[in-house]
Amino acid sequence: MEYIPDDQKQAGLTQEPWGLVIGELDQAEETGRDVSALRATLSGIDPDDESRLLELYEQILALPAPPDWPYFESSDLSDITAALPDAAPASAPTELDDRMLGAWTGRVIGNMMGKPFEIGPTRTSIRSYLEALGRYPLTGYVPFPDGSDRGQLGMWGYESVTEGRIDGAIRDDDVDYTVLGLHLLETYGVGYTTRDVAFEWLSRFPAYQVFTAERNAYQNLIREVPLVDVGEYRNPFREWIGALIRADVFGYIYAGRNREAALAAYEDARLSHRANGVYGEMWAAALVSSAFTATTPEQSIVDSLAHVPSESRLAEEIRTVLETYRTGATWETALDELAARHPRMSWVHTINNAGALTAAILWGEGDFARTVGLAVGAGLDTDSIGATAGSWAGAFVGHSGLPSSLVEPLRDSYRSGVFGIGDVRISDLSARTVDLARAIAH
Amino acid sequence: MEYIDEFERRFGISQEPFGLALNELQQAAESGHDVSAERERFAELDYTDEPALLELYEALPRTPPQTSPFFEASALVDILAVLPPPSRRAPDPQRLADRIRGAWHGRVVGNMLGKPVELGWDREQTERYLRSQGALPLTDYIPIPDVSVTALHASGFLLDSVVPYAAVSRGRIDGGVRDDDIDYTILGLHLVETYGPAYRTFDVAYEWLHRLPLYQTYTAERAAYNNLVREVPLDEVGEHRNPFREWIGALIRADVFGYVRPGDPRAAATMAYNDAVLSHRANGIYGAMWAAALISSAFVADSPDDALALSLAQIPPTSRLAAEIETVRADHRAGLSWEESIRGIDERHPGMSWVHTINNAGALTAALLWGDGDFTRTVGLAVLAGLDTDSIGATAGSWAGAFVGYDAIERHWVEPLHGRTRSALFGFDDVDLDDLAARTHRLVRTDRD
Repeated sequence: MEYIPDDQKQAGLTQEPWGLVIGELDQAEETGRDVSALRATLSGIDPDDESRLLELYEQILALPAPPDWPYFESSDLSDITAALPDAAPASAPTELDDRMLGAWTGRVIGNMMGKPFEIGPTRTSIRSYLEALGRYPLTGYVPFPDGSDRGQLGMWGYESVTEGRIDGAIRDDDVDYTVLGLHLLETYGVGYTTRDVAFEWLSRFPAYQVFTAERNAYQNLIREVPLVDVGEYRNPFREWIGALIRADVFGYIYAGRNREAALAAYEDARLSHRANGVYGEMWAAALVSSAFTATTPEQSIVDSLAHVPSESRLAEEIRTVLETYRTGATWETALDELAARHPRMSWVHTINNAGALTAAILWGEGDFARTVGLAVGAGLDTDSIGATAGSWAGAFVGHSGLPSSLVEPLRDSYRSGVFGIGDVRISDLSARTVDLARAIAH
Repeated sequence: MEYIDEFERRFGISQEPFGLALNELQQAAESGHDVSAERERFAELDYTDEPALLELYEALPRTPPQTSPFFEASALVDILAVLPPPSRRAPDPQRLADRIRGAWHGRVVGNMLGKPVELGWDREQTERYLRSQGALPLTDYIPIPDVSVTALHASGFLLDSVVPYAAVSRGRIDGGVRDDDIDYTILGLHLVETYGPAYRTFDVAYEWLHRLPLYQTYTAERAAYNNLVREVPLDEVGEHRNPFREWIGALIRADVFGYVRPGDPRAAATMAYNDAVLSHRANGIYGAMWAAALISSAFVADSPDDALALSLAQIPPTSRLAAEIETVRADHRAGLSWEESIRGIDERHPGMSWVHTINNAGALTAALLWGDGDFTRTVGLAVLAGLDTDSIGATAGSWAGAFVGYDAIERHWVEPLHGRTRSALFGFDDVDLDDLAARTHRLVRTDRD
């Protein structure tokens, strides 16, 4: 029994037997297993009957993969690299300093724009909330005029994150991982290992400040699960978005060198993730890297696809959104279709969020505020893909292209929750990253 | 295999088989068992011989021998049953705020004073170094004139990768640096604020898992944290694979319970119990209860010995801990010098870890008695004892700060703190000491619960 309150147990986001079963049922279904019989079994089990739940969990894991499954699902680096399409040659970005500061600042802005809608609100509820205020689509921090209904926002609420109430950026795990990633690369170099990542997590994050796949990995480390199994042992969240949110820094240091960015993310991703969870981080690294050199959003998406196994479910999702865009459909249509493709998928899964992020970049048309606003407006993992969209768009337009109304409230300050790092200046993070990027390039 | 580095594994302060066998052997010997045969077997093993080490560990006795003359129980009812009737004194309400402020600042001062010589330094080396710097008697922070790595290493400050020597040296201090001793005091305040004085051991566990990175906890706390994640039942977390259960970790968490129950040492000691029992047993628990009571007594005592007498009434009188404290008091009464008394501690406890509760409690007692109620002298002696310098430095500073009050602490101690300290506690990275003191004051209750 984990030392968490009952409501957390019931939410099923832990390694408790209940969380394992419901998470692994969805995971099995998404990977082509027929789980109808086992779902029926679950309905006959008392949620407190842990031994029966664990037995069921083992049965789910034992379901055979469908013989005709068309998708690539390997997590092995050599398999992945063998499955990647040929990529366009790397190119060097112009105005690296300005783009880097744009990327870091954009990441923080995107995270803050998404935070009021994290956990709870949906695409529909976000739209009606903003329309009632005459502010749809979102192009700035979320407005929350006096007297607004707090219940329309997510779990975080409005303090410190809504328009007019921001005084420096507050802590969030999305940005914390970027800060930690920079520290990791500075300390261990680009040849860092998964074990280094493990050591840094255990040294700098409390167990209960990491979530889903990361929490499971953290706990598995303490339980002395061998490192190669940490990402999959009792981890039904291994294809959720946790690894993707850690990717941006690898795109920063390999700005314009998309393939290297993707490969650099692998050792980090595999600590806690598998298959599309890993591809998601590699993809986001390449995507952010490509923002430094791409001429259009569409070009960046096309470039990024060269760093995802083409037969993967993730690649298919991104391609589908790209094709929808090319038909001239609206963003709403693309998001309706996305929702219809993944009716049961967790709102923090890699695949649906990657689709929504792709849509934000394409329909954002290179405009910073619009790109981030669409990522948030998708109503999935609002602050996480808001952050990645902000990173992407900030690198694309550069710091000089960011709206000052979004930049100024940050006061160049981020209060990290990473032990030993604490309060940081965003400009310092950027300067350190530029130093690293230049050192690697030489 | 834990994900710690090789250095730490060799060091034997983890739950790895080597650490378990090494320290449980010592624990068994200290509680009265003859383990000479097992020690011989252990001497033949390398730290990598894990199955053999585990086998040795598993075969060791975990409880004191039947013939032990000492009280060793860990259940609160058993402990309370052997204590004398409680007594209280009302603290002077006019002085309370100043004393609480003094306790918090004193705690950070004592901690910072001890930090340069915490790891790897013994009493003789510290004395030699300080003499070479003209810094004896120790009346200010430890001087380190040149903090370049070469100069640090040449002076014996070898652990520059883990100790921020510059930030804790005389003339360079700018606020309190992060240290686990201070982390736990802040966490204790948060705990009592959030869950009330009747907080549960589960609440402590939950807060640790939420606010402390695993590798910022050490020995018994690390073992307990690991055990929590490994889903060991809560009532066994403090003893399962935990040969550090009588080390000083619980004692260093106790001060805040004294702050919020000034003049009521029984209430302070009892409040410390649910915290201590998460990670400690027997004298590890009594140590926390004693320190809470000692700090509580500082708010009302007439003298250091008066505070010690009050605090001794809150721990089992026939425990090894009580015997140690009484022995040091007797040394003082007999007119021994501080040096003689400290040498006696060494002689009584050969082989005891330098971070054990009992020897450190003896050294802390000596610092209070020979410190004679003077803040500077008290924190200096706690550090000069050369055991867990920064931890008992912190407790001594807490005690003396409460005893004399903030306004009476010499300015050269508190000014460099600039009213702030850092911590590793999630959500409390950089905190204002006066804010902590004010919050503490609001929790004070001098009436019986």
